[in-house]
Amino acid sequence: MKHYFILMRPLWREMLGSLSQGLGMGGKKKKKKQMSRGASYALYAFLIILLSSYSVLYGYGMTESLKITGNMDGLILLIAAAAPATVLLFGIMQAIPTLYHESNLETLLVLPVKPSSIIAGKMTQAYLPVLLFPFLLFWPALITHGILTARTLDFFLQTIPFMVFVTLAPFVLVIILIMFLMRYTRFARDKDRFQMVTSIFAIFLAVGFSLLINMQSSGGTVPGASLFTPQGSAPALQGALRFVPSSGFGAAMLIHAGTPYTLLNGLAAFLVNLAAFSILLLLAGKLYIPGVLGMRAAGKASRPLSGEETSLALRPRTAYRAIVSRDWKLLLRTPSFFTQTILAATLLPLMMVGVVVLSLVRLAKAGEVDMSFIFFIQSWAASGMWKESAWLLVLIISGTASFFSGTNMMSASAVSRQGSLFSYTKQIPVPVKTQVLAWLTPGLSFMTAVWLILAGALTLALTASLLFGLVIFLVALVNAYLVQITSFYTDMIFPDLDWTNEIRAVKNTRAATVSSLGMFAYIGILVGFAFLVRFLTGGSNLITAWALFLLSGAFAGLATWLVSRRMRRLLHDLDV
Amino acid sequence: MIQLVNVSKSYDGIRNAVDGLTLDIRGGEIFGFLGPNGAGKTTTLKLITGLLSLDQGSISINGYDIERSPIEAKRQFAFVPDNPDVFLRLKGIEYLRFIADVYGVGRQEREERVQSLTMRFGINDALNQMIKTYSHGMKQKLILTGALLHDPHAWILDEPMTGLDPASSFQLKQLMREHVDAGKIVLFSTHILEVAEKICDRLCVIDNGKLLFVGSMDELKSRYAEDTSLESLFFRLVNNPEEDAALRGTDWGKDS
Repeated sequence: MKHYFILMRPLWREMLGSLSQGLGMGGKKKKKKQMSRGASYALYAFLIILLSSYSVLYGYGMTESLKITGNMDGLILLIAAAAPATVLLFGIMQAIPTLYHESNLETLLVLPVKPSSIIAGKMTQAYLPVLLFPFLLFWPALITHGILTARTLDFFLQTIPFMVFVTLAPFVLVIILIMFLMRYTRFARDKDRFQMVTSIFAIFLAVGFSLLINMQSSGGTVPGASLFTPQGSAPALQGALRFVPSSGFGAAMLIHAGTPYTLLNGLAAFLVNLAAFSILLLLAGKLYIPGVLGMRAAGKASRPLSGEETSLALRPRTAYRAIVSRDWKLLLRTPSFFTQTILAATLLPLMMVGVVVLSLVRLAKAGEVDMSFIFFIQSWAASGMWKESAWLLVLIISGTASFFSGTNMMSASAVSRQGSLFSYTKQIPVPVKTQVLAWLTPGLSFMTAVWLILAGALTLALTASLLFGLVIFLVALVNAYLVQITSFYTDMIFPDLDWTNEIRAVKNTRAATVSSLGMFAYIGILVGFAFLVRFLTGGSNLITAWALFLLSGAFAGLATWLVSRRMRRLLHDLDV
Repeated sequence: MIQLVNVSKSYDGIRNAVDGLTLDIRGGEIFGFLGPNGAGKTTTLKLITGLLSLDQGSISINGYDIERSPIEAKRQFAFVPDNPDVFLRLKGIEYLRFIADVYGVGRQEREERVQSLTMRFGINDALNQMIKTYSHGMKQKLILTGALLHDPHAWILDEPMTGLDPASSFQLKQLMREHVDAGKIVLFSTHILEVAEKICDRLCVIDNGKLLFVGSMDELKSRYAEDTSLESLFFRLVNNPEEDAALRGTDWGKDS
């Protein structure tokens, strides 16, 4: 136990450090001033208040709306279901690097400390950040819910063990799965491939889980119920919670706070967690450290190239094509880059289109939406009526295109992604203009492909004219380009080249903030501008549509000019 | 020829990381760049290769000024950094193709060079693997191969022996000699004084950004009138520059 606490001292500091880095604080070497301790605490406090405020707000909103339907415990059941999903998502992302890929492991393994202390220390280091996020996200909502539904004091006290119960067992499950994979599969030992696959899997899982919850609640049956009810009828666990007994019992414990049933459910939740934790400790002794030690042996020998293959692999290309090809390969092969660029830019349009289509179909089937509404949209596009409200089409497409483009960090991270290898950019005898064009190519070509598909699909689905598709494509292209080039310009001015953690290059730069949040401001400007032009022109449809298009074009032109002006001095100004 | 005229650089709170450095490195010589940690060796190499911008002075490589004609100047040299962590998620062969493409090396030339250099360094069987799976020494060898693909006029290396096994180290020294025998330049920094003593035609010693000595090993020995190792002369130079200044009676920081 003594060794555990000694080990936890550096691990704790490291955990806080990695959290700060994830939040964009600290960790930056030279040139940039370190954030003061006071400023760091202020930022922590701000983020905690921000998340808690969101939590209080939706706790209030959900409780009030569920009260109307008489579902007083709906929020508890919802949190009991959502918390494991969050743990699953964050658990995979947090646990793999913490348990297997951090450099401190080798330092720890050579210490004269019992393996169980190292295991316990590392597990704690992995679990606490995973607990923190659901806690900030859900606990204030639970407290708000308790106040609004006038729960007893027991309820408020039990919210703390509840949060542990609903997060610990799912975390254990994730860790056991990871340990097995790391110990016994070659696949898992390839850090990049494993991270890539698990990230994609986690995202799909979280999206699927959210959809499931969403669909069940709208059907009037909130998932989950208690095993031990006051009536003693003991209905089986329902909905999504039937698969997560720790959450089912935890929720029942909270729902029945102040009654004897709370003890039974609490005990059951505790036992489930205890059993899970014991299994984890038992397995960790056999799986964790051998798994860590096996990591080094994971290198996969590949077949040597024949003379012909070498010759083929060395075919000459232009410098531009060489840089574009290199960037695509690095985007596809680096997990952090892939998830924040290609995956995000593919998934978001797919998900949004999918959700709209699914919702329309479901609502139409349920009779909640008149089928004539869907037919109206189709005939609006097919008959050419859209020309009468072209400004609306331009506005919607501009907003959607800039939103989609804002989630694609390819251009926003084009300079930062290079990190210390920016030295190659400075060294190679290729004009900066060619290099900049090559860096912008992946982001721009990707957005072009996305909108070519979307515009084509919309035109075909709505049996609209070619002009309709062309308008959508051109408007989308200009707006997608605008976001890409603006975020690229920001990255040129504020690049982060001294990162050691790849995620920082694509997520924690100013360009990423401009890309992901700036488009909301831009959409606001577009909407305001559209209404201003309509007001000034007496509601002219065509003038408003053109004005919107030209405004986007002017912004895009301005950003392009700024980039071309800046790029002349880029290599001179950025020292490596 | 690589020519540095009154070159100075200060950055990140380090005043005069390089301070009024003037040097002429001639074709056909292996030139060693020596100095203690933080002396300004890497900074000087980064200035020569255009990785850092100059505060003062000028640098030209084979007649091309690195600031005024950067593209032409960059065609004249290849730089091998001290950290061999290149594009780790490219395969070895992909990295070499990338380098050959950006330097515009012809098809036949690149194939021949890749084959002969990778054979010499013993990495030909690993070209189909991602660089991240390479050991430190293998990465170093890959970068060395890449650096020689376009047969540069000047070959600039920062601590090139680090991580190399004895056989590769021997190959590298041979390649350096072959390079200068063709009338070209090899400029390298090192902490291994025995290597510098053995292979350098001329060497320079800098400390605190200032030039302490430039010349051949024989010239250094004759200055101190002592037939001893470079190691002991190096320590006398670095630890007691006043003695050196008195001995030569010339002004500092000028190439003789």
